[in-house]
Amino acid sequence: MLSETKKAQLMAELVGLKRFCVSLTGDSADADDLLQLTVERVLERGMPEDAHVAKWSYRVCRNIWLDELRSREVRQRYAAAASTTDAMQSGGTGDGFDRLELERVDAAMESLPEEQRSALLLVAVEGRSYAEVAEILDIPLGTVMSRVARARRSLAEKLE
Amino acid sequence: MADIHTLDIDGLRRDELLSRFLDGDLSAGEQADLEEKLANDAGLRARLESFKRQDDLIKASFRAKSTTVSPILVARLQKDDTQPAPSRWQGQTAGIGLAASVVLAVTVGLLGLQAGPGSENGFEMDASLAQALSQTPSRAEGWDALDDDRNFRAVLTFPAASGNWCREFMVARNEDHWRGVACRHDNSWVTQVMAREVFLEESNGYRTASAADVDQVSRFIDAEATDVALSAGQEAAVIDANWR
Repeated sequence: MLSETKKAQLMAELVGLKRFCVSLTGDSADADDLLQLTVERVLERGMPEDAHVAKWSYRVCRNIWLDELRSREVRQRYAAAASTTDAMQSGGTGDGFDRLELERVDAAMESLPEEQRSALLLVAVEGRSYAEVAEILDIPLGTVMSRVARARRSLAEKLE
Repeated sequence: MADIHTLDIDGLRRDELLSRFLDGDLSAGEQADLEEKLANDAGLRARLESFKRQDDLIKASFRAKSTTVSPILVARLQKDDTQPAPSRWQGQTAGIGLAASVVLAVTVGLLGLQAGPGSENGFEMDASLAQALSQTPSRAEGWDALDDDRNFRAVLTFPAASGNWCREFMVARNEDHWRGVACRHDNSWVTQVMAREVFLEESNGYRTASAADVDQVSRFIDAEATDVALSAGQEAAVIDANWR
Protein backbone atom coordinates (compact mmCIF):
# COMPACT_ATOMS: atom_id res chain seq x y z
CA MET A 1 0.00 0.00 0.00
CA LEU A 2 1.22 3.49 -0.81
CA SER A 3 1.79 6.04 1.92
CA GLU A 4 -0.46 9.09 1.84
CA THR A 5 2.50 11.21 0.74
CA LYS A 6 3.34 8.93 -2.15
CA LYS A 7 -0.31 8.70 -3.09
CA ALA A 8 -0.55 12.49 -3.22
CA GLN A 9 2.62 12.64 -5.31
CA LEU A 10 1.24 10.04 -7.70
CA MET A 11 -2.01 11.98 -7.92
CA ALA A 12 -0.02 15.05 -8.95
CA GLU A 13 1.67 13.03 -11.70
CA LEU A 14 -1.52 11.66 -13.26
CA VAL A 15 -2.00 14.30 -15.94
CA GLY A 16 1.64 14.09 -17.01
CA LEU A 17 1.45 10.32 -16.95
CA LYS A 18 -1.65 10.48 -19.11
CA ARG A 19 0.23 12.55 -21.69
CA PHE A 20 3.06 10.01 -21.57
CA CYS A 21 0.52 7.23 -22.16
CA VAL A 22 -0.85 9.11 -25.18
CA SER A 23 2.67 9.57 -26.46
CA LEU A 24 3.46 5.87 -26.08
CA THR A 25 0.24 4.50 -27.50
CA GLY A 26 -0.82 7.23 -29.92
CA ASP A 27 -4.40 6.35 -29.04
CA SER A 28 -6.62 7.83 -26.35
CA ALA A 29 -8.47 4.63 -25.47
CA ASP A 30 -5.21 2.72 -25.12
CA ALA A 31 -3.78 5.62 -23.14
CA ASP A 32 -6.62 5.38 -20.63
CA ASP A 33 -6.17 1.65 -20.29
CA LEU A 34 -2.43 2.08 -19.88
CA LEU A 35 -2.88 4.72 -17.21
CA GLN A 36 -5.39 2.57 -15.40
CA LEU A 37 -3.08 -0.46 -15.42
CA THR A 38 -0.16 1.71 -14.27
CA VAL A 39 -2.06 3.02 -11.27
CA GLU A 40 -3.31 -0.47 -10.45
CA ARG A 41 0.22 -1.87 -10.65
CA VAL A 42 1.66 0.85 -8.43
CA LEU A 43 -1.14 0.48 -5.90
CA GLU A 44 -0.87 -3.28 -5.88
CA ARG A 45 2.90 -3.58 -5.67
CA GLY A 46 3.78 -0.31 -4.01
CA MET A 47 7.23 1.18 -4.34
CA PRO A 48 10.34 1.46 -2.17
CA GLU A 49 10.19 4.19 0.43
CA ASP A 50 13.09 6.04 -1.18
CA ALA A 51 11.73 5.73 -4.73
CA HIS A 52 11.03 8.88 -6.71
CA VAL A 53 7.32 8.63 -7.45
CA ALA A 54 7.42 10.25 -10.90
CA LYS A 55 10.37 8.27 -12.18
CA TRP A 56 9.03 5.05 -10.71
CA SER A 57 5.53 5.44 -12.11
CA TYR A 58 6.75 6.47 -15.58
CA ARG A 59 8.95 3.40 -15.68
CA VAL A 60 6.14 1.13 -14.57
CA CYS A 61 3.97 2.69 -17.26
CA ARG A 62 6.54 2.16 -19.97
CA ASN A 63 7.18 -1.44 -18.92
CA ILE A 64 3.46 -2.24 -19.02
CA TRP A 65 3.24 -0.77 -22.51
CA LEU A 66 6.24 -2.80 -23.70
CA ASP A 67 4.60 -5.94 -22.29
CA GLU A 68 1.38 -5.07 -24.07
CA LEU A 69 3.22 -4.48 -27.36
CA ARG A 70 4.91 -7.84 -27.07
CA SER A 71 1.58 -9.42 -26.30
CA ARG A 72 -0.01 -7.72 -29.30
CA GLU A 73 2.72 -8.93 -31.57
CA VAL A 74 1.94 -12.43 -30.48
CA ARG A 75 -1.75 -11.92 -30.99
CA GLN A 76 -1.19 -9.90 -34.18
CA ARG A 77 -3.60 -7.33 -32.87
CA TYR A 78 -1.55 -4.25 -33.42
CA ALA A 79 -3.11 -3.23 -36.70
CA ALA A 80 -6.63 -3.41 -35.29
CA ALA A 81 -5.68 -1.44 -32.21
CA ALA A 82 -3.91 1.27 -34.16
CA SER A 83 -7.03 1.99 -36.13
CA THR A 84 -9.09 2.70 -33.02
CA THR A 85 -10.74 6.10 -33.24
CA ASP A 86 -9.12 8.67 -31.04
CA ALA A 87 -12.00 10.04 -29.00
CA MET A 88 -9.92 12.94 -27.80
CA GLN A 89 -9.27 14.43 -31.21
CA SER A 90 -12.03 16.93 -30.57
CA GLY A 91 -9.75 18.71 -28.11
CA GLY A 92 -8.11 22.02 -28.92
CA THR A 93 -6.10 24.76 -27.35
CA GLY A 94 -6.40 28.29 -26.28
CA ASP A 95 -2.72 28.98 -26.89
CA GLY A 96 -3.22 30.76 -30.20
CA PHE A 97 -2.53 27.87 -32.56
CA ASP A 98 -5.09 26.88 -35.10
CA ARG A 99 -6.41 23.37 -35.52
CA LEU A 100 -4.54 22.85 -38.77
CA GLU A 101 -1.20 23.55 -37.13
CA LEU A 102 -1.98 21.19 -34.30
CA GLU A 103 -3.09 18.46 -36.68
CA ARG A 104 0.14 18.81 -38.61
CA VAL A 105 2.27 18.60 -35.49
CA ASP A 106 0.20 15.66 -34.25
CA ALA A 107 0.75 13.81 -37.50
CA ALA A 108 4.45 14.63 -37.43
CA MET A 109 4.76 13.45 -33.82
CA GLU A 110 2.95 10.22 -34.60
CA SER A 111 5.33 9.52 -37.45
CA LEU A 112 8.34 9.70 -35.13
CA PRO A 113 9.79 6.47 -33.74
CA GLU A 114 8.24 5.85 -30.32
CA GLU A 115 11.56 6.22 -28.50
CA GLN A 116 12.10 9.70 -29.96
CA ARG A 117 8.50 10.76 -29.34
CA SER A 118 8.63 9.68 -25.67
CA ALA A 119 11.95 11.40 -25.04
CA LEU A 120 10.78 14.64 -26.62
CA LEU A 121 7.47 14.61 -24.76
CA LEU A 122 9.15 14.09 -21.40
CA VAL A 123 11.60 16.92 -22.03
CA ALA A 124 9.58 19.46 -23.98
CA VAL A 125 6.12 18.97 -22.52
CA GLU A 126 6.75 17.56 -19.05
CA GLY A 127 9.89 19.60 -18.44
CA ARG A 128 11.95 16.61 -17.26
CA SER A 129 15.72 16.91 -17.22
CA TYR A 130 17.81 14.68 -19.46
CA ALA A 131 18.98 12.83 -16.35
CA GLU A 132 15.40 12.11 -15.29
CA VAL A 133 14.47 10.94 -18.77
CA ALA A 134 17.50 8.68 -18.88
CA GLU A 135 16.28 7.05 -15.69
CA ILE A 136 12.65 6.78 -16.80
CA LEU A 137 13.48 5.31 -20.20
CA ASP A 138 16.42 3.33 -18.86
CA ILE A 139 18.86 4.65 -21.45
CA PRO A 140 22.20 6.51 -21.24
CA LEU A 141 22.16 10.29 -20.90
CA GLY A 142 23.82 10.74 -24.28
CA THR A 143 21.08 8.71 -25.91
CA VAL A 144 18.46 11.05 -24.45
CA MET A 145 20.26 14.07 -25.95
CA SER A 146 20.52 12.36 -29.28
CA ARG A 147 16.87 11.19 -29.35
CA VAL A 148 15.52 14.59 -28.39
CA ALA A 149 17.66 16.37 -30.98
CA ARG A 150 16.78 13.87 -33.70
CA ALA A 151 13.11 14.18 -32.85
CA ARG A 152 13.25 17.97 -33.17
CA ARG A 153 15.21 17.69 -36.39
CA SER A 154 12.74 15.22 -37.90
CA LEU A 155 9.81 17.39 -36.88
CA ALA A 156 11.42 20.43 -38.47
CA GLU A 157 11.79 18.52 -41.73
CA LYS A 158 8.20 17.33 -41.65
CA LEU A 159 6.74 20.70 -40.73
CA GLU A 160 8.73 22.86 -43.14
CA MET B 1 29.37 14.66 -54.04
CA ALA B 2 27.05 13.90 -51.18
CA ASP B 3 24.03 11.71 -51.84
CA ILE B 4 20.82 11.43 -49.85
CA HIS B 5 22.31 8.70 -47.71
CA THR B 6 25.18 10.85 -46.50
CA LEU B 7 24.76 11.86 -42.90
CA ASP B 8 24.73 15.57 -42.29
CA ILE B 9 27.05 15.35 -39.31
CA ASP B 10 27.48 19.11 -38.96
CA GLY B 11 23.73 19.59 -39.08
CA LEU B 12 23.20 16.89 -36.47
CA ARG B 13 25.76 18.46 -34.17
CA ARG B 14 24.25 21.91 -34.64
CA ASP B 15 20.76 20.62 -33.89
CA GLU B 16 21.89 18.70 -30.84
CA LEU B 17 23.54 21.83 -29.51
CA LEU B 18 20.42 23.91 -30.13
CA SER B 19 18.28 21.21 -28.59
CA ARG B 20 20.41 21.08 -25.46
CA PHE B 21 20.38 24.88 -25.30
CA LEU B 22 16.57 24.86 -25.34
CA ASP B 23 16.53 22.27 -22.58
CA GLY B 24 19.05 24.08 -20.40
CA ASP B 25 21.57 21.28 -20.65
CA LEU B 26 24.64 23.22 -21.84
CA SER B 27 27.53 24.11 -19.57
CA ALA B 28 28.14 27.81 -18.99
CA GLY B 29 30.99 27.78 -21.51
CA GLU B 30 29.00 25.96 -24.18
CA GLN B 31 26.09 28.29 -23.65
CA ALA B 32 28.24 31.41 -24.00
CA ASP B 33 29.80 30.06 -27.22
CA LEU B 34 26.41 29.29 -28.68
CA GLU B 35 24.96 32.65 -27.70
CA GLU B 36 27.81 34.35 -29.50
CA LYS B 37 27.17 32.28 -32.61
CA LEU B 38 23.49 33.01 -32.41
CA ALA B 39 24.17 36.73 -32.28
CA ASN B 40 26.08 36.53 -35.56
CA ASP B 41 24.21 33.86 -37.48
CA ALA B 42 20.67 34.57 -38.68
CA GLY B 43 20.29 31.02 -40.01
CA LEU B 44 21.14 29.56 -36.63
CA ARG B 45 18.69 31.90 -34.93
CA ALA B 46 15.98 30.88 -37.38
CA ARG B 47 16.67 27.23 -36.69
CA LEU B 48 16.41 27.84 -32.94
CA GLU B 49 13.16 29.73 -33.39
CA SER B 50 11.70 26.91 -35.46
CA PHE B 51 12.59 24.43 -32.69
CA LYS B 52 10.98 26.70 -30.11
CA ARG B 53 7.87 27.02 -32.20
CA GLN B 54 7.66 23.24 -32.59
CA ASP B 55 7.97 22.78 -28.85
CA ASP B 56 5.16 25.26 -28.27
CA LEU B 57 2.96 23.42 -30.75
CA ILE B 58 3.70 20.06 -29.16
CA LYS B 59 2.90 21.44 -25.71
CA ALA B 60 -0.33 22.97 -26.93
CA SER B 61 -1.33 19.81 -28.70
CA PHE B 62 -0.61 17.41 -25.84
CA ARG B 63 -2.03 19.70 -23.21
CA ALA B 64 -5.21 20.22 -25.19
CA LYS B 65 -5.97 16.59 -25.77
CA SER B 66 -4.40 14.71 -22.88
CA THR B 67 -5.27 16.51 -19.68
CA THR B 68 -8.28 14.43 -18.77
CA VAL B 69 -7.84 11.71 -16.21
CA SER B 70 -10.80 9.51 -15.42
CA PRO B 71 -12.38 10.63 -12.12
CA ILE B 72 -13.06 6.97 -11.41
CA LEU B 73 -9.36 6.25 -11.60
CA VAL B 74 -8.61 9.18 -9.31
CA ALA B 75 -11.18 7.91 -6.83
CA ARG B 76 -9.67 4.43 -6.95
CA LEU B 77 -6.25 5.84 -6.23
CA GLN B 78 -7.61 7.78 -3.29
CA LYS B 79 -9.28 4.69 -1.90
CA ASP B 80 -6.34 2.33 -2.48
CA ASP B 81 -8.64 0.29 -4.70
CA THR B 82 -6.28 -2.37 -6.04
CA GLN B 83 -9.04 -4.51 -7.51
CA PRO B 84 -8.16 -4.62 -11.23
CA ALA B 85 -10.81 -2.93 -13.32
CA PRO B 86 -11.78 -4.50 -16.62
CA SER B 87 -9.47 -3.48 -19.42
CA ARG B 88 -9.59 -3.96 -23.17
CA TRP B 89 -6.12 -5.36 -22.82
CA GLN B 90 -5.15 -8.86 -21.85
CA GLY B 91 -8.33 -10.25 -23.36
CA GLN B 92 -10.65 -8.43 -21.01
CA THR B 93 -13.66 -6.29 -21.75
CA ALA B 94 -13.40 -2.52 -21.49
CA GLY B 95 -14.35 -1.03 -18.15
CA ILE B 96 -17.72 0.58 -18.63
CA GLY B 97 -17.18 3.36 -16.14
CA LEU B 98 -13.76 4.27 -17.41
CA ALA B 99 -14.77 4.09 -21.05
CA ALA B 100 -17.75 6.30 -20.40
CA SER B 101 -15.68 8.89 -18.65
CA VAL B 102 -13.21 8.92 -21.51
CA VAL B 103 -15.88 9.46 -24.09
CA LEU B 104 -17.54 12.15 -22.05
CA ALA B 105 -14.45 14.02 -20.98
CA VAL B 106 -13.91 17.18 -23.00
CA THR B 107 -11.18 19.73 -22.54
CA VAL B 108 -12.52 23.24 -22.15
CA GLY B 109 -11.08 26.67 -21.81
CA LEU B 110 -10.44 26.71 -25.52
CA LEU B 111 -10.75 29.66 -27.79
CA GLY B 112 -13.09 28.88 -30.61
CA LEU B 113 -11.40 25.76 -31.81
CA GLN B 114 -14.17 23.38 -30.90
CA ALA B 115 -17.70 23.09 -32.09
CA GLY B 116 -19.69 25.93 -30.65
CA PRO B 117 -23.34 26.48 -29.97
CA GLY B 118 -24.28 25.48 -33.47
CA SER B 119 -23.08 21.94 -32.99
CA GLU B 120 -25.30 18.96 -32.31
CA ASN B 121 -24.24 18.86 -28.69
CA GLY B 122 -25.09 22.10 -26.94
CA PHE B 123 -22.90 21.01 -24.08
CA GLU B 124 -19.71 21.12 -26.08
CA MET B 125 -17.15 23.40 -24.54
CA ASP B 126 -15.96 26.64 -26.00
CA ALA B 127 -14.72 30.00 -24.80
CA SER B 128 -18.22 31.14 -23.79
CA LEU B 129 -18.81 28.20 -21.53
CA ALA B 130 -15.32 28.38 -20.04
CA GLN B 131 -15.84 32.07 -19.34
CA ALA B 132 -19.21 31.41 -17.74
CA LEU B 133 -17.64 28.76 -15.52
CA SER B 134 -14.95 31.22 -14.50
CA GLN B 135 -17.20 34.19 -13.79
CA THR B 136 -20.78 33.17 -12.98
CA PRO B 137 -21.90 32.74 -9.36
CA SER B 138 -23.88 29.61 -8.52
CA ARG B 139 -27.64 29.88 -8.28
CA ALA B 140 -30.47 27.57 -7.27
CA GLU B 141 -32.77 28.51 -10.11
CA GLY B 142 -32.91 30.62 -13.24
CA TRP B 143 -30.48 30.92 -16.08
CA ASP B 144 -27.77 33.20 -17.44
CA ALA B 145 -27.61 33.67 -21.19
CA LEU B 146 -24.52 31.98 -22.54
CA ASP B 147 -24.86 32.97 -26.17
CA ASP B 148 -27.54 33.15 -28.84
CA ASP B 149 -29.26 29.92 -28.05
CA ARG B 150 -27.75 28.48 -24.89
CA ASN B 151 -28.39 29.23 -21.25
CA PHE B 152 -26.13 28.45 -18.36
CA ARG B 153 -26.52 27.86 -14.65
CA ALA B 154 -23.68 27.31 -12.22
CA VAL B 155 -25.05 24.96 -9.56
CA LEU B 156 -22.29 24.71 -6.98
CA THR B 157 -18.55 24.92 -6.41
CA PHE B 158 -16.51 22.45 -4.39
CA PRO B 159 -12.87 21.58 -3.75
CA ALA B 160 -11.69 18.27 -5.23
CA ALA B 161 -9.23 15.89 -3.67
CA SER B 162 -6.70 16.86 -6.30
CA GLY B 163 -6.69 20.34 -4.78
CA ASN B 164 -8.45 21.84 -7.80
CA TRP B 165 -11.78 23.67 -7.79
CA CYS B 166 -14.71 21.97 -9.47
CA ARG B 167 -18.14 23.25 -10.48
CA GLU B 168 -21.38 21.47 -11.13
CA PHE B 169 -23.31 23.28 -13.84
CA MET B 170 -26.12 23.04 -16.33
CA VAL B 171 -26.44 24.11 -19.96
CA ALA B 172 -29.79 24.42 -21.74
CA ARG B 173 -30.59 24.83 -25.39
CA ASN B 174 -34.19 24.66 -26.54
CA GLU B 175 -35.58 21.57 -24.87
CA ASP B 176 -32.24 19.95 -24.24
CA HIS B 177 -30.40 20.19 -20.96
CA TRP B 178 -27.03 18.92 -19.88
CA ARG B 179 -25.68 18.62 -16.37
CA GLY B 180 -22.00 18.17 -15.68
CA VAL B 181 -18.98 18.84 -13.55
CA ALA B 182 -15.87 20.67 -14.71
CA CYS B 183 -12.66 21.11 -12.73
CA ARG B 184 -9.72 23.45 -13.06
CA HIS B 185 -6.59 21.93 -14.62
CA ASP B 186 -3.65 23.95 -15.91
CA ASN B 187 -5.69 27.17 -15.77
CA SER B 188 -8.47 25.72 -17.91
CA TRP B 189 -11.79 24.07 -17.21
CA VAL B 190 -11.85 20.36 -17.95
CA THR B 191 -15.16 18.52 -18.01
CA GLN B 192 -15.06 15.47 -15.81
CA VAL B 193 -18.52 14.06 -16.26
CA MET B 194 -21.77 15.00 -17.97
CA ALA B 195 -25.32 13.77 -18.39
CA ARG B 196 -28.14 14.81 -20.68
CA GLU B 197 -31.57 15.59 -19.38
CA VAL B 198 -34.80 15.58 -21.37
CA PHE B 199 -37.49 18.21 -21.06
CA LEU B 200 -40.96 16.77 -20.61
CA GLU B 201 -43.34 19.65 -20.02
CA GLU B 202 -43.41 22.86 -18.04
CA SER B 203 -45.56 21.50 -15.23
CA ASN B 204 -43.45 18.40 -14.70
CA GLY B 205 -40.08 20.00 -14.98
CA TYR B 206 -37.35 17.78 -16.29
CA ARG B 207 -36.83 14.09 -16.35
CA THR B 208 -33.41 12.64 -16.83
CA ALA B 209 -32.84 10.71 -20.03
CA SER B 210 -30.79 8.19 -18.15
CA ALA B 211 -30.78 7.84 -14.41
CA ALA B 212 -27.45 6.06 -14.68
CA ASP B 213 -25.90 9.04 -16.44
CA VAL B 214 -27.08 11.52 -13.87
CA ASP B 215 -26.04 9.17 -11.09
CA GLN B 216 -22.62 9.40 -12.61
CA VAL B 217 -22.59 13.13 -11.90
CA SER B 218 -23.63 12.50 -8.31
CA ARG B 219 -21.13 9.70 -7.89
CA PHE B 220 -18.39 11.89 -9.20
CA ILE B 221 -19.18 14.64 -6.73
CA ASP B 222 -19.44 12.13 -3.88
CA ALA B 223 -16.09 10.66 -4.77
CA GLU B 224 -14.27 13.89 -5.55
CA ALA B 225 -15.55 16.54 -3.17
CA THR B 226 -13.34 16.89 -0.13
CA ASP B 227 -15.56 19.43 1.55
CA VAL B 228 -19.04 20.89 1.36
CA ALA B 229 -19.89 23.27 -1.45
CA LEU B 230 -18.63 26.82 -1.04
CA SER B 231 -20.92 29.49 0.35
CA ALA B 232 -21.82 32.41 -1.92
CA GLY B 233 -19.24 34.60 -0.19
CA GLN B 234 -16.48 31.98 -0.42
CA GLU B 235 -17.30 31.35 -4.05
CA ALA B 236 -17.20 35.07 -4.86
CA ALA B 237 -13.74 35.29 -3.27
CA VAL B 238 -12.49 32.36 -5.36
CA ILE B 239 -13.93 33.92 -8.53
CA ASP B 240 -12.22 37.20 -7.69
CA ALA B 241 -8.95 35.36 -7.17
CA ASN B 242 -9.33 33.86 -10.66
CA TRP B 243 -9.64 30.34 -9.22
CA ARG B 244 -6.20 30.28 -7.65
